[in-house]
Amino acid sequence: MIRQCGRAGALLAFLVLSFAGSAQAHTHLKKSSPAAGATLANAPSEIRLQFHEAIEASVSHISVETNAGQAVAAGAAAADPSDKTALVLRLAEPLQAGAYKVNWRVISADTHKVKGSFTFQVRP
Amino acid sequence: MELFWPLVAVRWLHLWSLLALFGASLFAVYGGPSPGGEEALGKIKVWLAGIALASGVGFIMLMLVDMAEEVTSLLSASRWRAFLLATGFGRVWLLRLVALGALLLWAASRGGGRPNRWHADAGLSGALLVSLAWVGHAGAGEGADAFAGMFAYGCHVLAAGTWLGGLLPLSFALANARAGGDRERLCVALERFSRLGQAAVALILASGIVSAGLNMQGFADFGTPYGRVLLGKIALFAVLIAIAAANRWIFLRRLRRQAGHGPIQIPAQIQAQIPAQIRAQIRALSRTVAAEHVIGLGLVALAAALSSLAPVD
Repeated sequence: MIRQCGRAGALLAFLVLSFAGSAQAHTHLKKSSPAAGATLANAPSEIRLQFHEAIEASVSHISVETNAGQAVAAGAAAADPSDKTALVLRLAEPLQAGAYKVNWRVISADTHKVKGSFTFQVRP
Repeated sequence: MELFWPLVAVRWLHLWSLLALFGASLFAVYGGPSPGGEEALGKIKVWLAGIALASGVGFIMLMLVDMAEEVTSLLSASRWRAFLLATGFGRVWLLRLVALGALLLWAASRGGGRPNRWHADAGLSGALLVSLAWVGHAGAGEGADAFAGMFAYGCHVLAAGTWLGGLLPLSFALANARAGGDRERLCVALERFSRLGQAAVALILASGIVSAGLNMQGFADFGTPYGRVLLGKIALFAVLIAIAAANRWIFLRRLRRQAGHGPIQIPAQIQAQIPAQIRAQIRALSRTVAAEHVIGLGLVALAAALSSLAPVD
């Protein structure tokens, strides 16, 4: 009986592993522009976030705030028509020198919410 | 604003009501009308369709608040437009809401229910169950993975509904037999349910393995919250199989033996004339079917939690 259970378990393990390898997950931030922690010589005109799978841009969100917590003027985050894994926020005005925090919240195709934040600096 | 538990609770209600509706309707198709429970089942199905619609509406409201992180988003037409019309899952949910409304109207329009029209109930509730694949983990994949994931999900929910949903009419049939109703019909219903149940178990296992393989990268993922909930689901499923096996191979066999031969041939009689041993076996079967029901509810709750968790962190 124990041997039979062992065999069944081994078969189950084999089957699980044979399908494994391309796991579906909630999306994750792959990279950003500006990069997290970057110090820039020139102020960026947009914030661009790249995720590792498609996101639903219409219900996703990016905001930028100064070190003092003041919101930076910008439109609404939008999808990149050529890349459904990217979310772009165009800034209304060039950023002044200083530290900034980017807060993002995206919804993946499986309806799950993923959020995070990072900082960057613009040199005087 | 974290709405994890409310979302799990509403998802559980939605999934359970559709599974029950699908399985109960299918039971009428393959097992014939449930002896002694047709009218009551018709009314229960109206309630189930109502719960499915209400939980569906509640679910998208919670999702909108969760996504926007503002309760006031419920009052924003532009938020609703963006959610329902500009997202893939929103459009699926819009269609699902229309279908849920149609299901409720269809069920309510028949009052006590007419067994010969239950094919439509089974078809519509089955389609609503399968459509959940487009708004979950399976729908997030791409290419062959997405196809395999959605196919496996569809098989999984239909097989689970066949089993768990069939318990409801079976309970009515057992209660009817306990009260001295038609034992022959009970035996036929038990035989058919049991045979289909074995096929459902095989399908649940196979589709579950495919889904686990697609959602996880290896055994290390059993250490994540998703993996731990999945282990709990596998453990509960094993208990459910053990109870179903006891029903099939012990209680049903005893029932047949004590009745003489093959399916029970005792005609409907007054309760005092029913052999005590047969009554005891029917009582035992009723208890184990009730236990299956409770464990099934737990399994659906874990399935709802799995849908809300990330397979891989």
